[in-house]
Amino acid sequence: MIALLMSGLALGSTIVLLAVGFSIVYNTTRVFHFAHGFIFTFAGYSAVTLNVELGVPLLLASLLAVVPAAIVGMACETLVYRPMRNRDASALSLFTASFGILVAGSAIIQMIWGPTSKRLDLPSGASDTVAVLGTFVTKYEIWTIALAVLLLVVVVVVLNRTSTGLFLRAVSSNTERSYLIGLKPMRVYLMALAIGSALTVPAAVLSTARFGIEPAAGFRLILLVVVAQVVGGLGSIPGAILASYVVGLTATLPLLVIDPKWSQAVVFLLLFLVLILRPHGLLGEREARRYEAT
Amino acid sequence: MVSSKTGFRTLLLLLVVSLVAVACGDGGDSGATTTSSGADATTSSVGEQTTMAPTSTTEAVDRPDTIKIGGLFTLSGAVVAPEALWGAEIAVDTINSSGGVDGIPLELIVKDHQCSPDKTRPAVQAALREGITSSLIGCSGPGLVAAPMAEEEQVLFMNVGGNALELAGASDYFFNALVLGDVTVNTALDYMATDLGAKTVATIYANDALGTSLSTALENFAPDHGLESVGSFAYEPDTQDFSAILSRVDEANPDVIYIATLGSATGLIIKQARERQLDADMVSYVGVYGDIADIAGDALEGVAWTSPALDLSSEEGQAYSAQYTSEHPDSDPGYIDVTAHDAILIIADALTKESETGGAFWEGSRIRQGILDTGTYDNLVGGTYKFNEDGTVVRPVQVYRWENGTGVVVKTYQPEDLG
Repeated sequence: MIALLMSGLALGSTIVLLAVGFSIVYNTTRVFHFAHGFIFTFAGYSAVTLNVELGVPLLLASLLAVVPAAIVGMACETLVYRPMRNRDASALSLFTASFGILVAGSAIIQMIWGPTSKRLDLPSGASDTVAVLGTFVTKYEIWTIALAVLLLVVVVVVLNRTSTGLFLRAVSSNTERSYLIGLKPMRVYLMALAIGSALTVPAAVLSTARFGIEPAAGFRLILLVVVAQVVGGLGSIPGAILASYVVGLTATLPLLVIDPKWSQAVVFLLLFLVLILRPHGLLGEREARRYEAT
Repeated sequence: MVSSKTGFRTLLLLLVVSLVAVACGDGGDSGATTTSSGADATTSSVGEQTTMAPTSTTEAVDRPDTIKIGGLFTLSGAVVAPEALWGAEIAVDTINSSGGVDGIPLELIVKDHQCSPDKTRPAVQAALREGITSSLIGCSGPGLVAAPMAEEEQVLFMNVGGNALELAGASDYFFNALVLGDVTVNTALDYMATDLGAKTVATIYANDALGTSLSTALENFAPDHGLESVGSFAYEPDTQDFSAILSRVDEANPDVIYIATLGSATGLIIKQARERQLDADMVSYVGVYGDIADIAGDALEGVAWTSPALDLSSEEGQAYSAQYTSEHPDSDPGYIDVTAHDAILIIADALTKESETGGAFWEGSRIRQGILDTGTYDNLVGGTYKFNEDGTVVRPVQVYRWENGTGVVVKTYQPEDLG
C-alpha cells in the first residue's frame, strides 16, 4: 500500500511538472499544446547530450537543458502557431498542428539520436532506495515528489508576485484588454511557451535518470497530462495540480485489487466520470466564474 | 501556346497508351503463369495447375536480376532488435560472395514493423510490392498478422523472433525458426524447479500476443514441474515504471519472478525489482541483447534466461562469430542474429535444391516445398533445425546466467529432454 502510494505520488509529481507548463501555455495562447510532449522528450535528449556526450556535470547539464527546451517551445509559437493564428486558423486546426509537432518531433528525435533509449551518466548511489514505513522507495521517487513541490511554489510565486506572472495572467484573462494596457500578446505568448517548455526539464531529467529516454517517451506522458488538464478543468492551474495527483494515484492505487494491465483504463474511466458529473472539470467552473468576476 | 498545349496532350496520350499497354500486359502474363484474379471461379485443381505452372522445367521463365527476401524486423519503437538484420545481412553476403543461387544474387528488402501488429500489414505490403517471394519476420504480433498474408500471397515467411504459441500452424506458408512459448516456458520451469529449487513463481508479462501466450503457458505447465503460480501481472507494452506491479509481486512473495517480455522493459523490470530489494531469483524469457545490460546494470547479476542454442565453437560458428564481431564490434552474437542468419541459409538451401528442377524456383511455393522436402538442417550456427509439419521447429535450448558482466551457459536441453 505504501509502495503504491509513493509510486502514485511520484507519477502525479511527474505529471504535475508537465501539467503546470501545459496550463500556462493553454491559458495564455489558447492552444491545446500537445507538442509539450515532444518538448519533454527533446529536453531529456538535450540533457543526455550535454551530460554524456559533452561531459557536462549532471546538475549543470540539467540547468543548461532549459535553453534548448525553451527555444524549441518558442519555435512552436513563431513557426507554427503564430502563422496559423495570423491566418485565422481555428482552435481545432491549432490543436491538430500541435499534435502533428508531437508525432513529427518523435520521428525527428529518432533521426537525430536513433531509436534506442539513452541514459544519463548518474552518480553512484543515485538509484539507491530508502526504507519508508516498511517498504522501499527509490531516491528518484523522493526527488520527483520534492522537486515538484518546490517548483510548484516557485511557479505560484512567479505567477502571483512578479511582472512576468502579471503579464501572463493579464493576457490569459483578456487578450483584447491587454492591448489597452500596452501589452503585446505575441510577446507574452512567446514568454508562456518559453516558461512552459522550461518547466518540462525537471520532469524530463528525472524521468531520463530513472527510465532512460526514447523517442516516444513524451507521447505516453502527454496523454496523462491531458487527462489531468481535463479532469482538473481546462485552464485551471490549481485544477491541474490537484488532478495530476488524482491521476497519478488513480493509475497506481487500484492496482491493489485489479490487474495492472487495467491501469490506463482506470485513468480514462476517471476521465469519463468527471466529464459526466462535472463537465468543466474538478475546479474548472470555479475558475471560470472567478475570471468572469474579474 | 499552341505548341505547349499540343506537347502536353501528346504526353498525356502517351501516358494513357502506356498505362493501357501495361494493363494489357499484366493480364496476359497472369493468365499464362499465375493464378489470375478470376481463378477463384475455376476448380482448385486448375488453381494448383496454374500456380504450379512455373515449376515446369520445360517452360521458359524470366529470371529475375535478384531473388528478393524480405527482412521485416523491429528496428525502432519500444522493442529494437537490429541484430536480426545484421545476422541476415551476413548470410546474404556469404551466399552472394559465392555466386548467389543458380547465379542469381539474393537481395534483402528491409522493412521496420516496430514490433507492432498495426504497422505490420503496411510493412508486408510494401515488401510484397518490391517483389519478395520469401521473408524473415521478427516478433509474435507481427508474425500473426503476416501469417495469413503469407498464405494469400504464397510468399514463404520464416519467423525469427516470435515465440507466441499461436504461431504454430499459423499458415501453410509460415515456418518458425525459433522454438515457441511452450518449449521456452517448459525449459524455464524445469530450470526453476530443478536448479533453483523453487516452489512458487510469479510472472510479469506484456499485455500483447507474446506475453499473454507465455503467461498462459506458464500457468498451465507450472504444476507439471511441481511449481505453484502465485500471480501473473500484465502491463501495457509502453510501460516504464513497474513499481506498482513490483509491489504486487512483492506481496505474492514468489521464489522466482519470470519476466515474459521483450526489449528495454526487461532491463527496467530487473533494475526496478532490485531497487525495491526484491530478492527472488529472476528468469527472463529473452536473452540479454540490445540495451538490456546497460539499463539493468549491476542488477543483472544472477539473472537467468532461456535461449535457443548456439554453437559458436563449431567451424561455422567460429566463422560467423568472427564476421559478426568484425562488422559489429559493440555487439556479441546471440540467438536473434544467429536465427536470422540460419533462416536465410535455410531459404537459400531450398532455393538451390529447387533450382535443380528449373522453372521459377524463386517463388514462395517452391521455397516452401524445398524446406518441406529437406526437413532437417544440420551444421548451422544454431545447430540442427528440424521442421515439423505445423511449421514449428525442434532445436536445443540453453539456459544462460549473467555472471560478472557476461552470459554463461549453465545448462543445455536437447529436444529429447523437453519431451
